[in-house]
Amino acid sequence: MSEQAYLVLVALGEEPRHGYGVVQAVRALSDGQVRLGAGTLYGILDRAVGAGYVEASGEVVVDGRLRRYYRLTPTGLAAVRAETLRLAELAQRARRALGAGPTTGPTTGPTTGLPALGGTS
Amino acid sequence: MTRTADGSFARSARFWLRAYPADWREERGDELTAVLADLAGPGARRLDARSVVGLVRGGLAARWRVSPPLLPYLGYMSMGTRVAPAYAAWAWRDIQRPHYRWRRAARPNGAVVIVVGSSLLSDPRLALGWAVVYAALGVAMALLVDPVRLRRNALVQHLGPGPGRAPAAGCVRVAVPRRRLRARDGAAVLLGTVAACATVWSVTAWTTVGWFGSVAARDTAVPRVLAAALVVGLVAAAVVVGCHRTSLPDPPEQPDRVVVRLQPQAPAGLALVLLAVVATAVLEATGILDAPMSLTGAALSTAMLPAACVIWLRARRTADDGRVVAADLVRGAIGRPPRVEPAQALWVMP
Repeated sequence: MSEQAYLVLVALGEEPRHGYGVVQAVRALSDGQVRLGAGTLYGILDRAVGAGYVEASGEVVVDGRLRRYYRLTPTGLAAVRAETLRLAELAQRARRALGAGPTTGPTTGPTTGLPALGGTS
Repeated sequence: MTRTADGSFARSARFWLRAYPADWREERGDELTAVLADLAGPGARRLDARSVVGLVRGGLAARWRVSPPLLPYLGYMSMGTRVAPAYAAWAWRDIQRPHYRWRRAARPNGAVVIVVGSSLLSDPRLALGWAVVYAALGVAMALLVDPVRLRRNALVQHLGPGPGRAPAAGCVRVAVPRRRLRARDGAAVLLGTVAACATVWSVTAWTTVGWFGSVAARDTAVPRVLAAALVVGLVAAAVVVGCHRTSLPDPPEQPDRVVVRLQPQAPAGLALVLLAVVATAVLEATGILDAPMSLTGAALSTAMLPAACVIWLRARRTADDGRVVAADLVRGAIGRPPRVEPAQALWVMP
């Protein structure tokens, strides 16, 4: 699962969203780092719908613009939870490895200066 | 498609959305246009470069996802082989899209590629000649065949059941009356084609030394071969007359049959068949093709000509009620009486 796909699933796990809503939520989740284009977003949605992770949950027309909402299916929720767990464990292992491993180059103090990773899980 | 964003932006989005497959656009185009408009912000008149690149990439990826892998795709395109069941919906959409007969005519046939390709190695003029012949015959077929029937046959081939295979998943069976070419029309095409072949190839054989090596060799071979062919043809015609007499005296009612006529463009198709025959004659007369093609063709078509005349005369006496169609005349020519045809079973996607 790519980072973008993961973020889309997390955004939909929070609540059902329409396409533009997903783009905004992903931007907020990634702290402004990930700006999805429409082509990328719909590629991810297509694959997620194909995999049974996501389903359409109705549509509304706002200001003459069609907005179709998408929501996570139970399978999708399980998948995104498993991925979150995997990332959290990965981050933990990474922190251990980097914290315990030998430091390279001159250090200015004890190796406690790493910021906390995986804060969003 | 409803208007989702104002004027020029929607036009720009619609243009770039063509990167996506047509049915994808049909289903999600409005929604995607709305997202593009939201992303672009108010007052945008066209898509920015980044969105365009994203759309083209996304569209190609969407096409890639729904179409079969390369080898099955090439097999489907060049030889009409069936794609895996997972892609049956793709084949269904391909057959349903407009201008199917022209798309079929434009597809490179595997045998054509081999013949043209191998002659390209020996003589480019020969390759060009064969390419002209096949192109003319391809367009002629598209003009002569019944497009509805061509589509139906493709549906049976790609979605229907066959030996050792089930109908494609998600298909439903419908029964439709079988479309059969009117006897008079089919007989006219047969006679016209055979007569054109016999004339063009006989004249070529009579006038070209080419493969024979000498005028004397030609002048002994050609009359004998053609005379023998004519004798065979007359015997065959007599047999056909006898067979028709026994096989077609009382044809049955055919409730599940629709009689169709030739396409209005059929004369152009016949002209192209003639062009293809003339092209082979030119290839031989100019020495580019070093084979007794015209003599072989002249012998075969001369042998068929009397029987084609008999079938044509018999077809003129049939009514348009579907009891006797072109296919019955051909079956009847070898003594097989018409059978009551069942309706045609088609598999379609709801």
